[in-house]
Amino acid sequence: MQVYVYHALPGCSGCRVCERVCAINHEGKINPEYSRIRIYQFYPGPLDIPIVCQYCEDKPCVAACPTGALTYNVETYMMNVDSELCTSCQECNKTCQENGRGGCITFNPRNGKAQVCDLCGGDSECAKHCPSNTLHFLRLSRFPKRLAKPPELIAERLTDNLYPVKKEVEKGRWQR
Amino acid sequence: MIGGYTGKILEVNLTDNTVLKTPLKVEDASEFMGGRGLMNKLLWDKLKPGIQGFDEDNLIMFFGGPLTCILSGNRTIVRFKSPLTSTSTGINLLGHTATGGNFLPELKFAGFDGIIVSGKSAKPVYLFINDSDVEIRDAKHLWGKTITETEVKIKEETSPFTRVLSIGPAGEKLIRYACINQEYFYSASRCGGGAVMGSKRLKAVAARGTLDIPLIDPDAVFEMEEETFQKLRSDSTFVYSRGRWGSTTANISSSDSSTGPLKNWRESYWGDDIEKGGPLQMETRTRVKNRSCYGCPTPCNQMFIIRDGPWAGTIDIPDYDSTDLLHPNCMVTDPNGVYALSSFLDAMGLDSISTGNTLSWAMECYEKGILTKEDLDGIELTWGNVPAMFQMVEKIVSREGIGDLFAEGIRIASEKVGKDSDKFAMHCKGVEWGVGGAGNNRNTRETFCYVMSDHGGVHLYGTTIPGQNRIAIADCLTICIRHMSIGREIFSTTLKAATGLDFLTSQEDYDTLANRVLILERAINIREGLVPDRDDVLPERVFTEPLTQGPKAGTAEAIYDRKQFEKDKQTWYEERGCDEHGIPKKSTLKRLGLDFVIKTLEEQVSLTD
Repeated sequence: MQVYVYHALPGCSGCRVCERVCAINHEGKINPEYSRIRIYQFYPGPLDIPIVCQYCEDKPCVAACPTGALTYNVETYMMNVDSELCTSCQECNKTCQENGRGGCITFNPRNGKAQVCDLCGGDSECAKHCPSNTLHFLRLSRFPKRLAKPPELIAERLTDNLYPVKKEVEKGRWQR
Repeated sequence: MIGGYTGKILEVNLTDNTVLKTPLKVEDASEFMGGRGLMNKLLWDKLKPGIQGFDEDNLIMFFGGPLTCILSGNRTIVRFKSPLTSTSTGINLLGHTATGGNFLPELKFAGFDGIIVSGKSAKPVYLFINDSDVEIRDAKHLWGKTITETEVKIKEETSPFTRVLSIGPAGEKLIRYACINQEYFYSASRCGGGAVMGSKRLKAVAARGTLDIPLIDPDAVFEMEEETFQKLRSDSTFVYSRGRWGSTTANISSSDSSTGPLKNWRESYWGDDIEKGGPLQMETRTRVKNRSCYGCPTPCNQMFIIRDGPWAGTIDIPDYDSTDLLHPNCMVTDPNGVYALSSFLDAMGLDSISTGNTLSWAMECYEKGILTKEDLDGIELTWGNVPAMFQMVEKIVSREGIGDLFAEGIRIASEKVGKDSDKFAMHCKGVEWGVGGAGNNRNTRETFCYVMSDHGGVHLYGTTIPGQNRIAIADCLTICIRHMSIGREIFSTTLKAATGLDFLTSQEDYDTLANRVLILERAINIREGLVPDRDDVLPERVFTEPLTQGPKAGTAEAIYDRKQFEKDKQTWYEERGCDEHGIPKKSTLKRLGLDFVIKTLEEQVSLTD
C-alpha cells in the first residue's frame, strides 16, 4: 500500500518543526537545510506551503537519474537515494519541476547529494510532530493519479479561495 | 571548545564600510550567557558614554544566545541607545526590544552569534549575510518602501529562503517609536529600534545560512528537544486556547479583571463592549490560520483576513498589546477597524503600542479642548473614530503638520503642548506603556513593570522580582517567555549538552545570572545619566484619578497611594541590592562579579557599601 505525507492547507503555520525533526532524524543535524521537507513562503500572507515528495504515480525523477542512484522500491513502496552513486547533478529535481511537479527533492548543503522523503521507513516524524495538524500520513489509493504540485500553483489557488478580493501572488523570486 | 555558539560576532561600521569578524570571548559567554546579558556586557565595553540615540556613535546590536535554534529558541534580541527612552531631562537611555520569527536562527546558520552595527552610512544600504560572507548593498531602490515591499524585493534579489529584518517609512523619517519588522508582522517594536536603523540609513539586515552549529553532545540535545516538544504539546493552554485564539483572548480577561487599558488608561473595565472585538468575534469573522515563530511547538499567532467592509482583503496578525491599545484604549468598537489600522501600522513600520498610546493621548487632549480641531490640522480626533486615526497616522508617518510633533513620542509632545497634558501622558522614562504582562492595576505588582524598567514603560520587563528574573533569563536564552514553563532543569541539561558549559545549575545560579544582567543594565543607565530618584516615577494619573468602573471601583486598588508607592519602591531597591536612591551597592556589584563597573560609577555617583 503506497502512503505519502499529505498537507492539508491552509493550516500550515510556518513553524518549521517538520524541517527540524526531519534533519535531526535523517542527518543528526539541527540545521533545517538537511531536511527533505521544505516550507515555502508566499505573499500576500505569509502563506506557508510545505513541499515534500508526494510519490507521484509515474515518478519522472527516477527515470531521469543518469546513474541510477535514485530508485523506487516496489516492495517497500519507498524512494531511496544511493549516496555512493549520486553525482549531485540535480537532474531529478529539474525533471520534477519541468513536469509541473513541486521540485520536491532537496540537496545536502555540504556534499550536494540528493535527499528525498523516505517516509521515515513508514512512520514519518514530520506528520507525528506537526503542531498545527497540517501534515498527515495518507494512503495514495484514496487519490488515484495524484501528482505533486508546484508551490506557486498551490499558493495561487489558496489565495483565490482565501481572499474576498483578487490578490496577485508574488512569484518573482520563485522563478527558476 | 564550546558548542552552541558559532563563536563569531559580526561588527559592521557603516561610516567607512568596514566589516570585522571578531571572536566571541568565552569568559563573556560563560559569565553572561547570551542575548540580553551578553549584549549588556558588550554595550558597557563598546558604547561611548554620553551620546544620544540618533548620534553616529550609537550602536545597534542584534543577538541570539546559546539556545537559538535549539529547543524553541528563536528570539532576536535588539539593543541600542534608544532615541525614545530618556530621563526627564532628555538624556537618552538604553533601548531593548525583541522579536520572534526566523531571523536569528538563520543568522546563526550563516555563522554569527550576533551583529553590532555602528557608524552612519552616507547612502541607504542593506546588509546581506550569506554563509559568513558579508555584503553591504545599496538600498536606494528600497528607500521609502513599506516593510512588505522591502522584504519581497530583498528576497527576490537574494534567495527565496532569506530572512529579513527591515524598517518601513517610519524608521526612515526617524519617528522615535518606529519598529523593526520581519515577515510582515513580527515586530521588534519598542523603544524606537527602527529609528536607530533609519538614522544609520540601514534599511534592512538579511541573512541566509546553511552552515552547521557545533554541539558538544548532539544526541543529548535531540533527546531534550523531543522531551520539550512533548511537554509543551501537553499543555492545554498553549495548544488549545492560544492555538485557537492567540494572545488576544487576554483582551476580555484583562477587561473583566479590570487590568486592561481603557480611554487612555483612565478606566480599565469596559463591560460587554469588550466582546465586540473578542476572540469569538475574531474567530468567526476573520481567522484563517496560525502563524508561528521558528521551531515553536505551540503556534500562537492568528492570521486574520478582513472579509467585508471598506478594508476587505486586508491581512493582519494582531496580538494582545497592539489590539488592546488600539481597541479599548482608543475606544474603537469596530474590530475590522482595529485590524486594518494594526496592519497599516505594521506595513509602515510603526510600533502599534506607542502609536495607540499617542493617539489616545491626543484624543483625550481633543476631548478636553487642550488641542483644537485647528491644532490637529482639521482632523476630528474623537474617541473611536477610525478614519480620523488613519489620517493622523498618515500625518505621523510623513511628519506633516501636527504629525511632526506626535512623531516625537508623548513625552516630548506633552511637554510642548503643555496645559497639564503631561498628567495623563502615560509613559515611564519616555516610553509609552505596553500592556501584556502588566496592565492598569494601580498597585505595585503591575506598575513596577514600567517604573523600574531600565528601558522605560515596556510591558516585558516583569512585574515582580521573580518575574523580572524569569524574563531576563528568557532574553538571555532567547526563549519565548511563554516557554519558560519548560523548566530550569531542562534548560540546564540542554545548555550543558550543547555548549559544554555549566549554566543555571541551581536556583541560586539562575537568580545570580538574572541579577547580574539587570544590575549591569542599571549601571549602564546610571553611567549615561539616569538618576533613579528623579526618573523612577509614574504618571500623575495613577495617583490622582481612581478607577470608577468595574470590580475595582471604590476599593483600595482603584488608586495608588503616593506614600505606598515610595514604600514599595524602597522595598524593591532593597531586594535588588540597591541603596535608598536606587543605585546598586558596592557589595552587590562585587557579589555579582561586576567589579569592572565600580570605578566608572564612582566618578558619577557615590556608591554605598
